Amino acid sequence: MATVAHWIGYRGRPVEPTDNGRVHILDGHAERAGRLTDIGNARAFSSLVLRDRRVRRAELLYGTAAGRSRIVVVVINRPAIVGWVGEVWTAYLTARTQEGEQLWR
Amino acid sequence: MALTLPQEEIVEPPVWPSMDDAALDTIRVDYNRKIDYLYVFLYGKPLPAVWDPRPDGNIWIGLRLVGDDDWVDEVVGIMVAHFRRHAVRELPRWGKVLTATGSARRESLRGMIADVAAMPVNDEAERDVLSAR
Repeated sequence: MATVAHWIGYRGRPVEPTDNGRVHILDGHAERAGRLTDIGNARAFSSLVLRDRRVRRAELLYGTAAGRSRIVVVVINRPAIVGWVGEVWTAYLTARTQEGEQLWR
Repeated sequence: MALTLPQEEIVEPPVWPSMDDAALDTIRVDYNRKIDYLYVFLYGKPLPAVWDPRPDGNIWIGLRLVGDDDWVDEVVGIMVAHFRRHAVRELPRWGKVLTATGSARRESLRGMIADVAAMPVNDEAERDVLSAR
């Protein structure tokens, strides 16, 4: 699993998009093709963060709405020598914020 | 003096494509074991979509994106998070969409689509919660 970039998430934790995550996003979300830089835009992570309902280490990062829709980036946090590191699982567009435990706004 | 009544925004229900046997056979099902996400692409391939969550928070329907930031109510896909960890435990029949073939696959897909189509949108769930108070 290769890491294709290094970003800093909303809590100062490293967030690593991997080639596995990138392939998954491109395979499953045609709307993201050519727009992967949106995911790496740290400002896009800053509007709202919810905890995943089923996996406590997973977070849903809502980007700032640029129009009617906004990007959601799903990140799973795993322990590493340097502390917690986030790995991007997937990313997609949505127009609705789901209910959930709010971690940051 | 004429009065104008306040207009309520009407949320149109999503429109599902009609699925005969031939259409069901073209559906593509993708499962990513690492992240436990399942995708059902109703038109045989991923189409640009805006994903609308159902109330349980693990299931989304993809609405066809027709511009950079505009979409229509036509459903083009289903996305299920935590498919094996949660969804199949709640609805064991959904597991067959990955394993069944032929008529059994068609039947399992038809059932899954019907299950998701019957789920209320979040707005309806929120209204239900409010009216119960």
